[in-house]
Amino acid sequence: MRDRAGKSLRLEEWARRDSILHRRDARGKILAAVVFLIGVSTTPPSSPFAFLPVAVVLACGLLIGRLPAGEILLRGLVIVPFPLFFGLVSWLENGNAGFASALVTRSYISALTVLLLMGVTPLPDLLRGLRGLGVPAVLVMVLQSLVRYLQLIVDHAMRMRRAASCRDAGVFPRRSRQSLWRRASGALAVLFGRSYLRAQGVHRAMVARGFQGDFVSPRPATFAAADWLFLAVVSTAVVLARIAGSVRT
Amino acid sequence: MSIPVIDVRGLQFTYPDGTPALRGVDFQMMAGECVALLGANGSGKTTFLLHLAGLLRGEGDVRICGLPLSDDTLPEVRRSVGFVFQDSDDQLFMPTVLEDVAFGPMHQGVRVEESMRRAREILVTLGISRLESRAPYHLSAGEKKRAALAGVLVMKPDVLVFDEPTTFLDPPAQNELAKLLLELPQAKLIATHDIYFARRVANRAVFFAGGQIAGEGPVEAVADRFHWRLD
Repeated sequence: MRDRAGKSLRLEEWARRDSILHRRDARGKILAAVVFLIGVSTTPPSSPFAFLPVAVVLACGLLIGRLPAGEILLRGLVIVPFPLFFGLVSWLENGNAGFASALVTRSYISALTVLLLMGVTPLPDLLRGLRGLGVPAVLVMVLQSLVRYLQLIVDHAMRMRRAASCRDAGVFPRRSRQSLWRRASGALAVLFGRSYLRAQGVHRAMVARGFQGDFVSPRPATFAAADWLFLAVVSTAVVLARIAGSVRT
Repeated sequence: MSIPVIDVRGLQFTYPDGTPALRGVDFQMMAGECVALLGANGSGKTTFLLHLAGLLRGEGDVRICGLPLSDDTLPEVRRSVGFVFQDSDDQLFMPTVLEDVAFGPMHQGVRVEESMRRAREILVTLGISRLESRAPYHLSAGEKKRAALAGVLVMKPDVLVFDEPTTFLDPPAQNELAKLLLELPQAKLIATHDIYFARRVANRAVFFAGGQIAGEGPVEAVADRFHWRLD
C-alpha cells in the first residue's frame, strides 16, 4: 500500500530535483507549455511524421529536465483510451484515419507535456505561477486542495482494498458481476465518508499552524533574464517544429 | 500573581448534529505545568483541545496567556498554542520534512529564509536533522511524531497540546517521546488513554466524563478514583 502511494508521489520527487528547467520561474514554464500545446494542437496531420519535430522538442525537455523518459512515456499512456475511443468513433463514422490518429497523438503529447511541466516544477511553485499569471485564486485553491487530498484518498483506497482482500479470501473476484459492483459502490461510499473526515483533520492541522487559505512557497519567485531567454528559446523551437511538421513529405 | 497559560471558563459546545460535547468546562493551567487529560472515548477531551487553538468555537471564555480568543487574536493564539495531532499524517503534508517544519513560521509572515533557518535549528535540537530532505510519508511513526513536534516547536509556542501522542508508537518510541517531553520547558496539556505515559510525564491529571471535568488532582489519585488502569 505504502509503495503504491509512494509511486503516486514520484512526480513530486522529480520536481525537487535540480536542472536548468527546474531552476526556471514557474510562470515561464507554464507559458512555455501553453506555447508548446498551441504548436501541437495546430500542427496539421499532413504526414505520419508530422508530430515528429514537436516530439523531438519534448524529448529535449525530458532530457534537460533529467526526468526518467521511460516512466513518463508510460504514465502518459493513461490518457490514451479516451481519445482512442473518440478517434475510433470518428474513424468509423467518417473513415478519416488521419484525423483519428492525430487526435490520439495530440492527446498523448499533451499529457506528456503536462507531466514534464509537473516533473520540473514543485506543486506550490506551479500553483503560485498560475496565480501570477492571473488564474482566479478560487480555482488555484481548489486545485491545491484537490492534489493534497488526492494522496489521502489513494492511501485510504489501498488500505480498504487490502482489508477487503483479506476477508474475501480470493472468492469475490469469481462471484457475479452484480456482487462485485455492489461491493465497489459500498466501498466508494465509505471511502468518500472517510476521506471527508481525513480531509477535515488535515485542514485543521494546517489552520492550527497559521494557514489562511494561501500557500507560501519556500522558493521565492523571480522572473529573471534567464527565464525570458528560456521562454524565447522554447517558443522559437516550437515555431520551427510547427513549420517542419507542416511540410508535406 | 502570574497569568494562567490556559484559562477556560464555562465552555460549552454542541456539534451541528445536536451532540453535546462540552457542558460548561472550567480549566486553568499555569506555565511549566504538565497536565494529562484522561477520560473515555467521546468524553470531550479532543473537542476541548480543539477549542484551545480556536479550531472549534463554543460558548464561554477561553484565554491563552491572558489573551481572549476572538477573530482578532486568532493568529497570536495559534502561535501560542502548539497543537500536535493524534495522527501525524494529518499534520505532515509538505513534500519534505524541512518544508513542513518551516510551514508554520512561513504562514505567520516570517521571511522564507528565516523560516528555513529556524526549521533547521529545531530539527537539530530534536536530533532529526538527517530527515531534513526526506518525504514525510517515508518516515517511521516515531520519526513522524518528532517531525510533527518540530513543526509545532518552530513556532515558539507557550503551551503544547497533544492529542493521544502515543498512538501508533512502539514502546521505545513512546519512551523517547516521554524523555523529550520532560526536557521541553513549555506548559503541556496531553489527552491520553495511556495512564503509564501520563504518570511519567504529567504532574496533574484532569478527568473528563460526559463533556465535563469530573475530577482532578495528582495522576495516581485520579487514576485510582476513576478506576483508570488495567487490572
